[in-house]
Amino acid sequence: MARIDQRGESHFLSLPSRFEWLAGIRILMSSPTHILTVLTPDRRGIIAAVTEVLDRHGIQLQELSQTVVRDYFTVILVLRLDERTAEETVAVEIETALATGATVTLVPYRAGAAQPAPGERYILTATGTTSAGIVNTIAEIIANRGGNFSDLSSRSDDGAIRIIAEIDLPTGVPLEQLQIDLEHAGAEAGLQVRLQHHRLFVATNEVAFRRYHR
Amino acid sequence: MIRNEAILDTIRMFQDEKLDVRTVTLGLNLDDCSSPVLKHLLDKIHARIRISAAHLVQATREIERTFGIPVTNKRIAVSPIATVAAGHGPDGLVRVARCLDDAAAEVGVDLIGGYSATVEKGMTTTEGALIASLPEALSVTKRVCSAVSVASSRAGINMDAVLRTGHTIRAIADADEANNGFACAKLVVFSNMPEDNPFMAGATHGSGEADAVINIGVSGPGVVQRALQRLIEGADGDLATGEDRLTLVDIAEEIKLTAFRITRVGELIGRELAKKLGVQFGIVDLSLAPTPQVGDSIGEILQTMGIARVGAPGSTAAIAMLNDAVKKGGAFASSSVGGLSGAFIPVMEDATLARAAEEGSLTLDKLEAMTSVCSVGLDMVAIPGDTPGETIAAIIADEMAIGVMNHKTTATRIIPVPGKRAGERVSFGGLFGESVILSVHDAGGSDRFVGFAGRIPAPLHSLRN
Repeated sequence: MARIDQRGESHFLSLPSRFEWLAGIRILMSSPTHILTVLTPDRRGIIAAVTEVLDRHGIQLQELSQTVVRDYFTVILVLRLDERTAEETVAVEIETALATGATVTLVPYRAGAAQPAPGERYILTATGTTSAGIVNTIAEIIANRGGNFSDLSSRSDDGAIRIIAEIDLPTGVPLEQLQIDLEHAGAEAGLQVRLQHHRLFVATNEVAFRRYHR
Repeated sequence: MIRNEAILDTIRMFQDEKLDVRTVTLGLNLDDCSSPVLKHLLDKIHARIRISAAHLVQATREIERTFGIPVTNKRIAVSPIATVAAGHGPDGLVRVARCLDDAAAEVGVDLIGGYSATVEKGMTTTEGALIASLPEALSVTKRVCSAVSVASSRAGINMDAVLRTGHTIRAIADADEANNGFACAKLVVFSNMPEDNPFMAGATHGSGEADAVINIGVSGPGVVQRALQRLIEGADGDLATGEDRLTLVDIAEEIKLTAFRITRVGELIGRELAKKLGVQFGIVDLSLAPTPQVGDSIGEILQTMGIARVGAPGSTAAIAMLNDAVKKGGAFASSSVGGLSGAFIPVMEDATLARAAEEGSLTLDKLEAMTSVCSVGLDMVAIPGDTPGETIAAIIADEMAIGVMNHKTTATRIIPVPGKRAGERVSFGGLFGESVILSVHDAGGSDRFVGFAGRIPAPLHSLRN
């Protein structure tokens, strides 16, 4: 999965460019207006084709997240269009540029209904034999405890399934009971389900671990 | 965002490779518990432990849940009792040992260390009394562990203490004959004793430490062994030749990387637990400490590295490389690495080492050679029950000399098994394991040497100032 955040790219700018970037910060920091999604069989050049259309219309790209699942490419882009840009034209031009039966949607941006509750991030993993409905079972348990998935991937091959999720749990969640519920649900389906604090994985995989203790 | 593969690598360490936090050890300073009145001393020690460690087990359990990491042992290490109980005789000191045992049971910890004396240069009356009390103190208590520091690179080797300790070990074994001398497994004799070691039986809360501190001991021989196995099997499949072939440098790098990850687990748990308990975080001790379980063995690592029978020529070089790579990985992972940090080779606690001893490839002499380059010494070695105290002292002296001359910690944890001879077996069960009783050749051949007693002076390179 790739993620581009234009604000983060300022680290790589030369000094004059940095001032140009600062001048543009007002635009970058202003609210997004639209969400663009693209779903299409994967091939080379999709990002290039999409962003060429955006650049041609002077559309600000504020954030992008892309992934490929089983040969299908999907991307979600957060955009800022000015009033003169014709939404329908942009979507049609992207579909035309991709020309492979792509599904393109461009919808007005709406802020999330509510800010996430303060809490902690956990990693859920489930491994074992493929079981119908297990993703739904896990998701319902998490939802019932007020948890929110911030990232989720699931892959099933040759009868084996692997689910990995980042989950934000609100402060005060009875963690032990939640873990027991997940373990039981997993065991019934032939899976080993673990819910462990996100910092464990940061500690064991990232060199810059100590900053998480400030 | 953490890559899925990295997440699964971490999960595998716990799920399949037996990684655990081997011990969470709460160090407690008891210096201000001192009192010439025995009852006051006992009351203060008991209260200090009961209050300071009241939440240790529960807090550790919560940390285990949060991070999904098993913590095998919860322990306490206290200030050297020979100092805390200065002025009391052997009987009073045994009462202190019982008090420690009771307090440890009350707060739910597995073991309590610090029934200790530091005598590398000279011995106070109380330190002598403590050593004299060991046979009773260690055989009538369940959880109390002791460490006696008899040597250091700065002071040399106190051979008076070594000789006395040799005889004491025999006396401990005889006092605990009903348990095959198991009480000896609760005594470690040190050179260059660390003051922040979380592993038992040698844990003591040193004089340079804060009032209370959390030290962590992480293990993970299984993780290292499996990582090397994957690396080597993968390389065999590649059929790489020339500069692309797998070499010992690659193996050392893999050990370093694995040690890095294991150490990070320890530091994370230590910091989180210290925060929860409101005490200082001390050190993380990355010591590859085996257990008798298959897949949790230093011997298996050496076999994976190509030493078919542990003890064969090359074993010392292999464990030297392993020990060094572990330290390098740990040092990069954390600035709080301390304690012993290396690869332990406790014969009874490692099924592969025990088998090598039984097959005759791993002898006492080869073990001694290996301890010159690894952590920590002749550990959990069963010897014949009739081995004279002088000979035990000579074995200790040899091990201490390795430590003193090389500026490293070395130690012995020797068990003369009453009524048993070389080649017979002894089992202590559980994590303490079992093994054949190793032969001590030429027993008695160094009586005159150790009988001189006195002190082996500090080596020339101790004069650094």
